[in-house]
Amino acid sequence: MGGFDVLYLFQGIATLVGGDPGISIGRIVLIMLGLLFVYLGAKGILEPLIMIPMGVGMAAVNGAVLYLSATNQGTIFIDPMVSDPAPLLDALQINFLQPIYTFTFSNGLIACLVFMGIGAITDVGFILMAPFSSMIIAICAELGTILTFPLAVWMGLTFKEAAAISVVGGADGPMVLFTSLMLAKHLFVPITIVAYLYLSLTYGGYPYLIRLLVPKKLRGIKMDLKNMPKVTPGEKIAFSLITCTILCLLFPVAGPLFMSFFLGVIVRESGVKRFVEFLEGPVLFGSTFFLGLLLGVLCEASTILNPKVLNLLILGMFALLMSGIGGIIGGYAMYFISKGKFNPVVGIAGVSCVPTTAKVAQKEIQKVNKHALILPYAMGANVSGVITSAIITAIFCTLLR
Amino acid sequence: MTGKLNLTSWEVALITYVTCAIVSLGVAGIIKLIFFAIRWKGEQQVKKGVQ
Repeated sequence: MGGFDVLYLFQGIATLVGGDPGISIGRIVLIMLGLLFVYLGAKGILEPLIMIPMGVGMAAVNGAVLYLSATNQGTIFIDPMVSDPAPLLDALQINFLQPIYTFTFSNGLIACLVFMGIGAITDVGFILMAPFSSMIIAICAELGTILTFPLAVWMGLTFKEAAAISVVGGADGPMVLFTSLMLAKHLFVPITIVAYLYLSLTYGGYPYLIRLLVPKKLRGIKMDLKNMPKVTPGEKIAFSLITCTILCLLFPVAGPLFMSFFLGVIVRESGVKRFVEFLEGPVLFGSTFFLGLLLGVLCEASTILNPKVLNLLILGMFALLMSGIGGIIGGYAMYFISKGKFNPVVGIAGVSCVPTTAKVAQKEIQKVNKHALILPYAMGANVSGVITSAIITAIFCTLLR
Repeated sequence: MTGKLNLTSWEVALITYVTCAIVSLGVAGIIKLIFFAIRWKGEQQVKKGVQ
């Protein structure tokens, strides 16, 4: 009994006390941050679907650091850095989340599964009703992505890293995950976390941007919904098939993303009820759950404490801010083209955080004019934003991979 | 500069944006074409029915 060290029994605390002070402080901060994410997710301030599993994962993984050998510390959750076959085989048998990470994360499958689910809940009819205005807005709303890229290079990031963080401007979580896995695998954890954190904040921040940039008088503009054409499921399927094939031909590197999204859309429109239920339920929510959980578990202090993280935080914020401004500029462009009949607030929906930004636009407009309904136009811009973000992802991956 | 293409960051950004704009507007054009084709076919069938 005399030689027994009580800390040997509680190894999470032993590694906290005996480890590198910087890492130990990082672990405590990340545990607190994890608890805060769960609280804010449960309160609905941040996106609960991502933040609750992510927060639990963050708190648990930073607590559960143990001695793997006499000198080596680590966890039995996941080892994101292992790539050689023999250690990978060991990791697959030891770390309980390693199979999910290796077989769905590191090859981008989880992003595709989320995209399939998003496709299954997306009505592309909105974009078919007003294709040119929707696309013009979506192109403008990529301003943040485009401006962030050279800024990130100027701040010292490599081209690949800069492309991965600038895609945050597209406000599409799976797209950020896909790009960072393709171009900057070593930074995909902090980049994806920054992306999902900020995407959760768009709901709170964009209303202020709208009020700042669009005067009350213009926010109340009522848009014409009577003359919008009705779109049949056959037209939606034809559009999805043709667009998917052309985009795959143009950008094979993003073929899995295009196929996943349009497959979801086609399943929805073809009315195969069992498949629709499968994609919009187990596939979408299952993959979102594991996405959140694995992102949290990947937030181990030793992985996340990277000097580049501060730059990523600044660049992510800049990208989303500029995309929001770009979207509203697009809204103004359509306002002038339509000679005052188009509500410029729709522009914010070009930032493709489906359907959050469309809802934000509708909510802000209804605060000024209760009878103004712009949701179909906003959803059109929203879905177009998904397509433009996928195109930009594809171009970056093709040019820089 | 990129290794393969010898481009500056601004050039990459510009190429990306212009390509994205062209392809996106092309997609919008496809949508219009599909609409016209399907509507035109529908109208033809209605005309045949009337005759």
